[in-house]
Amino acid sequence: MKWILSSLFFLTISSTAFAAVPVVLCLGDSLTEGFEISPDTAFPALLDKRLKEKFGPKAEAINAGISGATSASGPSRLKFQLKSPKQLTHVILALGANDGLRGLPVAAMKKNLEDTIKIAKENRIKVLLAGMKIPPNYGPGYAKSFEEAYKKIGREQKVAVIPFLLEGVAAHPNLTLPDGLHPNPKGHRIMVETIWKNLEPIL
Amino acid sequence: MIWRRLAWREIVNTPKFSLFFILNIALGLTGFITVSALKSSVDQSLSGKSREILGADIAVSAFRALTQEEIAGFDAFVPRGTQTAEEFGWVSMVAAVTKASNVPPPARLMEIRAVDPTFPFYGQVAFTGEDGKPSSDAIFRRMEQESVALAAPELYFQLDLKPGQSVKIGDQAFRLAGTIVSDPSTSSASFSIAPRIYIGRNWAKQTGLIQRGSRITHARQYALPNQPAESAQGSSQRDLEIKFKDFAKTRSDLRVRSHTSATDELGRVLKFLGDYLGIVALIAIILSGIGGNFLILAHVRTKIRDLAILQSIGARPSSARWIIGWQLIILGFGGAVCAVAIAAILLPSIREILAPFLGTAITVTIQKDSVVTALIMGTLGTPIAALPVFLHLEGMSAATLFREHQDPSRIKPLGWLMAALPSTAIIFGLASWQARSPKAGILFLMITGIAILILAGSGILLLRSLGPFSRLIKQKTGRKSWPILMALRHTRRSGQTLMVSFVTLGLCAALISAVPQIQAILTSELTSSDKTVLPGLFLFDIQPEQEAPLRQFLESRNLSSGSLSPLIRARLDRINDKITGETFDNIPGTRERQTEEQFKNRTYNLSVRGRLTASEVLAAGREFETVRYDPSKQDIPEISLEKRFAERTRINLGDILEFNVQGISVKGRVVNLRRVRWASFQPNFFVQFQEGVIDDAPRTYLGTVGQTDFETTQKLQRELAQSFSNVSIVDVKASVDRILNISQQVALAITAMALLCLLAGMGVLTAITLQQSRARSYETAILKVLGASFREVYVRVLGEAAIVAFFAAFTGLAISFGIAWILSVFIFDGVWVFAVSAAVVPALLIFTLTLIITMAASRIALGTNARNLLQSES
Repeated sequence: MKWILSSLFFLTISSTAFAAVPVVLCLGDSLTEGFEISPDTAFPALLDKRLKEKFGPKAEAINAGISGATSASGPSRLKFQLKSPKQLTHVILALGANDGLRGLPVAAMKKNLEDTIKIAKENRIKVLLAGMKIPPNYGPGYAKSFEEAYKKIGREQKVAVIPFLLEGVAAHPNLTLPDGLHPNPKGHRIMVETIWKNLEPIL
Repeated sequence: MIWRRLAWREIVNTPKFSLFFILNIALGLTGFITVSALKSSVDQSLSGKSREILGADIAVSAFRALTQEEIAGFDAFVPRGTQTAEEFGWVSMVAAVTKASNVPPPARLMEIRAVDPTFPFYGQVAFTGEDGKPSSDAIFRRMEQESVALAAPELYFQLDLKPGQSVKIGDQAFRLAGTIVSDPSTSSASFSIAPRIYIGRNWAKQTGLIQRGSRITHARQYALPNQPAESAQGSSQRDLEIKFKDFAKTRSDLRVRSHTSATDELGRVLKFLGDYLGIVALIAIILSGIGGNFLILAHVRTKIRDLAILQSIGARPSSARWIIGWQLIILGFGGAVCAVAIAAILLPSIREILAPFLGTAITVTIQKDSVVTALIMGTLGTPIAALPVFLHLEGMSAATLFREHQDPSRIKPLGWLMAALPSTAIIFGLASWQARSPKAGILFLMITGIAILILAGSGILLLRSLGPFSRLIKQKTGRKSWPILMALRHTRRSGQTLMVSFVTLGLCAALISAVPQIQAILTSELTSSDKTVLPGLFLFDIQPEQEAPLRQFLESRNLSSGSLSPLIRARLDRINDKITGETFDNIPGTRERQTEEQFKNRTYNLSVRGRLTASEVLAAGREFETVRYDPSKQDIPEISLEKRFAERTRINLGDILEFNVQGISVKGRVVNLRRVRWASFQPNFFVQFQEGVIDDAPRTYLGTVGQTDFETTQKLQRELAQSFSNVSIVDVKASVDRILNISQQVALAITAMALLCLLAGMGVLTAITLQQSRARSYETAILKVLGASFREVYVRVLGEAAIVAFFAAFTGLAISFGIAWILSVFIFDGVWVFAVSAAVVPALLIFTLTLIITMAASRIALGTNARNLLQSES
């Protein structure tokens, strides 16, 4: 009994000691950067606020969004972030939208995302892959293979996947900027809910 | 009306003066009328081109269907008879239609434009038919009936197809009925990443791609009625644009484009052209004014005795002013009429010369407003410009008759300034009107005023230095060179006359020499430099690990890799420790201030360059101390900013900027502002750091590949896509060529106008020099009577003319550099080239012309009987 109690005590202590405060890297493109809006209203800032509320002031969400970035930039940008003294615990991988908009090969995008995930895994960082859909005007074949690529990566790499990062935002004029593509601050508030729903289980 | 009759008699009695005067006025005003006509026709030609780019006069578009209320709202603004058309635009993966269904054919991204049969309202899409021959089919009408498409040649290459075969866009197959050869609507502002396909608008729905969530541009285009005469209705077009934009103001997703805004990238070229032509027209008029004033002054000098006689027999003192005033009005009017006639004769030839460059449809016609202005300027402007000369007649009395020299009375500076005020106001008004800015008016007045002051100062210096110089020659040569000594002595003694000649010639030289300099500056700005390779392809999103392989890839194909510039995304956090990241909605102050703050708050693409490239020019500050940042020697890294970016953000030299590069703070000090050569078409950046500052930051590279032929470009694009699949390739050759072509047309028009202004200037100068030579003929006669030899008189007269012409021409030349520099800084965005040869040639021409005319006039005078000369002058 004494042994069991001491084991339980040890497990409690160790889990508390090793349950790191979440430091979430939002590695993405203009959707992450907060294109044409204040950085305070983009989803990484909103997520940061929520993390701090939940896990205390040391919890953090880092905005590593670069407008126009494609999946090809994923590996090198993640490596750069790994040089930071901050101990990353999670990465929200929100790349690929620009690959789709430029009609780049889906297979190449898949490989780039997989390479990025591998680097994250090697550094014991949990990955949340933000799925993306391409507008139907790109053609049914391309749009379908593009969307499926994320699901496939999730299955193959065993990582959590948000089915569609812009769920409830895309094609809603009141939630997007005049370009009809980028979310406005209201849209980002919906995005953070979508992310939280998928991120919370892996925190 | 006795004064008018006397004035007329005076004109008839002094035919030489009258002829010179009319010639002088006519030349200046001819320059003005011709420049105005050309300016109008170039505007018209470029305006036509801008309509072709938009394909309409005005268009409204959104990434959604326009509502019926919006359509009705816009339609209510356009006049009756306006044609409308609609269009859908989107990008899609397009594949060839193949019989084998097991393996899906490769698909490529294409830009689809689904248009109405009336497309385009302006311009023409040239294409070849299925047989590969140029076609004049009404292809856009055919598209309404059949599922046919017109495609860019790149599509055939990328999908390995031939005309007559089919492509599938969404669910619908389209037969490729032709290949685009030239498409004026290919905007040079937005480079497309995909080749274009035209289909009929009514077939767009059949593709199944227009559905909820699709990113489709819905556009409604308008072609206003009576377009050929529309240039005169420019204001109504602008009013319409304002109404459209006001209506769209509350709907932020609506975009209104007029044909002028469709060519924003040409706006700078057009502004340059407008400003330049305005300046040249103004210089022509000022030259004419200077020449006119000189001739009047010289004429008044010769007429003092006659006017004094008139006064002594009972005429009032104002009589002289009335006679000369009427004389100037009649001569000025005559000059203006001659100018209109000469311009009418010249313009067809100018049209012929420029037609190959500006298009055969170009019409160079005399503008009504320029004719009216020329007539007003000639008739009323001439006596107004001569007001300072009238002051010389003040205080004139019968006693003047008994003076040995009938010099006009000396005038007080204040009186002269007051008399010069009306003509100053005219110059200001004309300059403001021509350059469309009061700033230009003030600038021109300041330039002219400063030039006159410098010339007057130089004239005084010249006068003072002639004495010691004479003594030096006398010491060295004795009396052997007495004609030269006489020339020097006479020049020194001629005082006021010399000053007037010197200032007049110098000002002419300054203005004339400035024209080709500005022309050289603008031509160098508008045409590409030999130092930079014109790009054919732009390559985006090159990853750091791809930099070396890509260079190798291009070098292995003997292709110029142009430049590979690192591109680092960063947000400007602080300027001199002041936070710039205010939330946009909470920015207090004016709209301009909000815009400015928003500009500061935005994220920028930085780059790293240790030295300025061939497409950049240092505008202020200094180059980086070292190419690479050295923390042991420098306290803070150095930053270079693009000049206009710095002006918009009000960042100054010496300011400390703090950027956030992916969460890492990087500080730097602004050490220089640089101007980017617009026509280089090279990748350039607002903000550039020294090397070694942000080496580790995530970056992509932006690259260019030099222009090649179509086949090579297509092959290269295919190979690049295979080896570097993520790299986006944009073919910019057509757009670069289009912009260069228009820029070259503008450069040509500028050169033509420079030559025209030079000719007009030389004409005015000829009139002035002839008048000077005429004035010297009296002295020539005296010397002959006193027994001087032909050679001695000749050397003396020529020596005097050479002294004045040489110093005036080269002082004017020095001033012209200042004029060109000031105009380049204040009007032409700081573009500056030290065009020595362009300026020296006119100065040499002025000097040579003056000597030739003096020589010719002196020979005539020397060949004439002294008695006749003395009689003609008395």
